Amino acid sequence: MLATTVGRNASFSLCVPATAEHMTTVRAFAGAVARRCGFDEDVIEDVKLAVSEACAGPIDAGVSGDIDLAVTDDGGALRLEVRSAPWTEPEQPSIDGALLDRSALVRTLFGDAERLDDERTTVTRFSTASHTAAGR
Amino acid sequence: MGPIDLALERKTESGWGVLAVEGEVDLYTSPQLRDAVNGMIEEGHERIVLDLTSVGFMDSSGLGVLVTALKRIRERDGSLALVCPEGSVHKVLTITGLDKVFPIHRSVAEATAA
Repeated sequence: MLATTVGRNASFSLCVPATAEHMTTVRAFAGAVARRCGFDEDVIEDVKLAVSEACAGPIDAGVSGDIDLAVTDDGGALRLEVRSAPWTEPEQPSIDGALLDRSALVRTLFGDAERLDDERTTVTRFSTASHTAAGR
Repeated sequence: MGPIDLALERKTESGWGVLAVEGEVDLYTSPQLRDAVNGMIEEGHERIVLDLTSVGFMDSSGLGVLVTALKRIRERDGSLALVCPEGSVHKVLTITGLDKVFPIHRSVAEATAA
């Protein structure tokens, strides 16, 4: 399912089954929205990586149902939200102090990233800096 | 191979087992990479190069495969090197600190000469 509101503060949403085969589609969607909004390739790659991690987390944990991705162009910045059934991050491999925690990686890419849990959903939210503020 | 599968090509150079990977490594495709690397380890390769030059995207699913493979190879006193030019994959290796864990080279020739 794809819903789009075009114009100022445009919002985009994508709903896919929580299965790994849809990861490519989710990344392409997020990347296309970021590109449409005028972000440079470095930010687009960061958005794709963060969305991939935020969606892979619940799928890797084995949630059922759908993953909902919402992207809003908030006047030059993007706000992204990934919503799923509740999940707990499985133990990730580590080596020599290197960090492979998905949530931590999203926070490294976007410092305002937060995770909200309640009985029915887990939501990961993060936002980009404004591309207009970056001198574009 | 389907449209979102990895292309995996094996060869041997200067005594190293080389696995060239092409595609995007994520939660869906990382098991393909894991199986290919495990196959090389189980065949007795102790020096392996993963050529990631044609990998356009990798998330922590793929990084987990690399780390698990390195642990297995270290148990055999072997070596696992990466070929990875500047770009999105190199960036994710850097921000996770894995650039200090793996030897990273600009070409297969450089990796196998190391």
